[in-house]
Amino acid sequence: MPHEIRPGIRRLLRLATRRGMEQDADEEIRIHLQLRARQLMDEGMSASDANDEARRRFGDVDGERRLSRAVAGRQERRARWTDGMDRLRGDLRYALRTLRLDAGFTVFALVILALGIGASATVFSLVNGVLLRPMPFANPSRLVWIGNVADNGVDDWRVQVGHFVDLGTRSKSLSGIAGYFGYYSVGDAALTMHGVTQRLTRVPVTCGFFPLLGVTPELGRSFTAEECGRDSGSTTAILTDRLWREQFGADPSVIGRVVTVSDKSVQIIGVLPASFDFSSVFTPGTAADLFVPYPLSERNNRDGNTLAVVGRLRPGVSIAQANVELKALGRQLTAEFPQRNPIRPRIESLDAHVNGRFRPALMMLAFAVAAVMLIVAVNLASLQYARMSARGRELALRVALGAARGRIVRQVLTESLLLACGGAAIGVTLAILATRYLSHLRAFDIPLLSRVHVDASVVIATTLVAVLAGVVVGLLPALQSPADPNDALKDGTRGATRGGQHARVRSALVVTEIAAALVLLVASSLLLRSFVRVLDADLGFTPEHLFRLRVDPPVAPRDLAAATAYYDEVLRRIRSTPGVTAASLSDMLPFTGDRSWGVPGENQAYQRGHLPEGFIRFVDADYFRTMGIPLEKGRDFAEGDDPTAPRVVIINESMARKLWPGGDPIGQRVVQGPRHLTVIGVVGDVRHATLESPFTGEVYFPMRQSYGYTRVDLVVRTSLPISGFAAAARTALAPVAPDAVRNSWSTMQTLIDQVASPRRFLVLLLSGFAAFAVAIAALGIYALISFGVTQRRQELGIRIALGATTNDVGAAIMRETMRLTLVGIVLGTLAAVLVVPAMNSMLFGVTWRDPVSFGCGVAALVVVAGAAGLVPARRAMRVDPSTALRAG
Amino acid sequence: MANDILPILKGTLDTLVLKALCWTPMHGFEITRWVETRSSGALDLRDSALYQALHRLEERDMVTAQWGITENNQRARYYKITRTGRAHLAAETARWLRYAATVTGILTAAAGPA
Repeated sequence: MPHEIRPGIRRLLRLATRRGMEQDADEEIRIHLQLRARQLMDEGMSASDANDEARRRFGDVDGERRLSRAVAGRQERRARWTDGMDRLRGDLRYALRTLRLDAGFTVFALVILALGIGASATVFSLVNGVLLRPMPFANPSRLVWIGNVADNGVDDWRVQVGHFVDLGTRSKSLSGIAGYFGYYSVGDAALTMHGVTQRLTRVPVTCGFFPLLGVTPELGRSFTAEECGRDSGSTTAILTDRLWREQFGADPSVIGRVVTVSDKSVQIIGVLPASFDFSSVFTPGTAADLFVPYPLSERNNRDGNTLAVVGRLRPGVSIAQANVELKALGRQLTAEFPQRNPIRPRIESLDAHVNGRFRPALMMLAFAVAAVMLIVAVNLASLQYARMSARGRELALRVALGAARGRIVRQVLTESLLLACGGAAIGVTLAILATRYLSHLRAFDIPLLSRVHVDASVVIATTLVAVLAGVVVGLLPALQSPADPNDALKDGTRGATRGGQHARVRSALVVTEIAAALVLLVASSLLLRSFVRVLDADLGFTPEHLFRLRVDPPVAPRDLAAATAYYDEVLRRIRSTPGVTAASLSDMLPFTGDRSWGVPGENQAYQRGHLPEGFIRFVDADYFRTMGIPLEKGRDFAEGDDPTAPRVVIINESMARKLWPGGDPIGQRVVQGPRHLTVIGVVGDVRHATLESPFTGEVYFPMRQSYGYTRVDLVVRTSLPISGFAAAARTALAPVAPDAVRNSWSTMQTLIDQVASPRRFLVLLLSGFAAFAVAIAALGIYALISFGVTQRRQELGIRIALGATTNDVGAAIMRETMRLTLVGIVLGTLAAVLVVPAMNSMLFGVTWRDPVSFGCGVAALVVVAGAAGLVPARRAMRVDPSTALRAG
Repeated sequence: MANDILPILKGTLDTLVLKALCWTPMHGFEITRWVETRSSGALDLRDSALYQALHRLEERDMVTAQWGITENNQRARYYKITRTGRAHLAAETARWLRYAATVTGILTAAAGPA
């Protein structure tokens, strides 16, 4: 291999001249001058004349000296670089050869590194995209969410228009406030173009909404004060970038065009930038299409708490200061305007409001991933360690033959780094695929998820982690490389002292893996059990065999009579469809909205601000039977509950307890503005916001008596599968509801899944990590015990020859396995007790002390570790004493 | 006599040094003496200029240097031409000859319109 020798020779040659290249440069000039002088003296010059003449002929001696020193320095650096590259090439070639020879190890190491790094990069991308990256607004850290504390002191109410105006003008800690109408509903507007009508989501916003967020329209302009003042419905609109591209073909001339939205002419005045994603911040999982002005008018003020409010802090003002000021202002306004709803402002940073719910979950995932990476690194270190001790003789021989210790360390490090970089390359690829998949999931209701992707910072961080892992993994065994070659050479494969030390270090590593795996197992069983509890929670209705379809026409019926006629026909047709056992209508199914208002009992005096609140639903007859909500008392709505009949209402049990504690609500009356409505029935409680939230009051109004609804869902109970049923239903409904049949049917279960999705997301990821961790820990145990059995073949052979039964041998191996496992479990339990309490806020129905979760974690580890130890134990039992002894 | 000393043309010194080395490795003073002898002292050459040429050639991998011992048992830095240097020398020599022949041809022909 001449090309391997050559750099070596070059190095040797250079070593001889190393003694200062700069001195050499001076020396060369000195010799030249000396030779020249001698030549001149030979020609007959005197010694001093000859020296002067030599210098004269040379020219600028000092300049040349400087120049040649510089050149020498450059050459030295170049030579060093070439040598370094040669050495690196050599190390890489050596590492590649070693890795190729040990293909099993290499593949295993690459796989676990790639999975570990892939998981880390994915979770880091999530944390980065959802928590760390600023929101797509100007100076987002100064933006605050201004909530209005509900009577129960926990929930957040919207803010009434009058209060909104007064807060804006009186507050000194805010430089501005803005808001959007909090009760817009998805798809409640219809855009008619070229004779085709399309459902859109229209969000009414206050005049200063876009300027406050620092969002400037890409085309056109924002709303003017005059436009925001018109109380007779909106006449101007601003489009989102998506709507502009999809419906108007990204046509810049769209500005100024008049289109028909919900049968009204609306002029398009602006297009928002693509970076502005309203829904992913404020209402994740839905879409917003166009924005219209929301006038701060007396009429809107009468609608009560309608505005979701954001504000911008004045420079230098903290959130705490703003809170103090606004709380005082809230008390002042409540006292000053008794005719308005009370207001109790609560300020938090917009970021905390949007992401706060997910922060603990994502932080937990980050920790989980750190634990997984720890296990991966420890496992690789342990394996490298085993390989090093197997190669102990080879290394000792090389040391004996003169290989520098540093060089061996460097080669092991090169090997580890090579593995780490290979793992990182595969891992980052996996992460890119995983994040692409995650960010396109509509099923998960997580803000800003769509913005998540693997970016440069993630790749850099991941590579750093990989390099760090490589160094840790490489350094530990490398430093253990034999100090005294004599020992190692004499030691052989049977050595007691060195082998013993190796085993101790590797045992410690395996114990670490088991401990970390246990923490992950406990955390994931706690979450899993919470998840099961959440799904088990009594919904208050029966979601099985329940389908829903949005049926309100794109252009709302002009009055109650028209609406009733339309919906009656829809119901008549769907009820006569084969397989349908029950069908009804609701304007707000469970989990689809949080509209609530005060429903006081007749002739009752309530303290101001303590009006009984209920979630409001408009439903048709037979709704409760269709949904499977039990009718506890009284009667259901009937088709006869129309505008000519006495006004009626149905309440749930919680509301009944709130309104008439201990009394019979049937026949009692509640007050809604000028009207008094008689309670005709009491139904069971239903979950309304999330699966975890407690039951609260609900008030059902009959759809036939008041026209206070826009969106309407048809719910159908049928024994048919969805595919067959949907086709039949489409045929039945097509003549009366041609637009509605274009919507797709979904099951009630889908809605529940969507509500449970963030939790399921977390459970899935964490369980995946835990399973991965346990598998790797099991492999670690297996590798260690198996290695021990191989090393102790001879000892085992002797034992068997001396009369130990194979069972004794197997039991000894299993005892060893279990000893390691138990130490790991004890340490892991201690670690879990320290770590797990931090996730209390994510648990439901269990506490972090849950003995079942701890027990399951321990049991799973014992079983898996036992299985991992069983394989080498069985091998040990089959050791044939005669061959084992001879082999030694 | 002073009138007979020619200024050296830019770039030709490097070629001359390569020519000096193409027979045998030499140290700096030997190269100086070689050029002086071959030119019979007709070239105006500072010794430092020669070392600058050597640095240039060394950095362009046309010569390599290493310390050795002279016949008089003195340490000296010997320069050796590389393969690149030889190729460069051949190319430069051919170029120089063509250039000189062309210029000579023009200058020695009878004057007149082209």
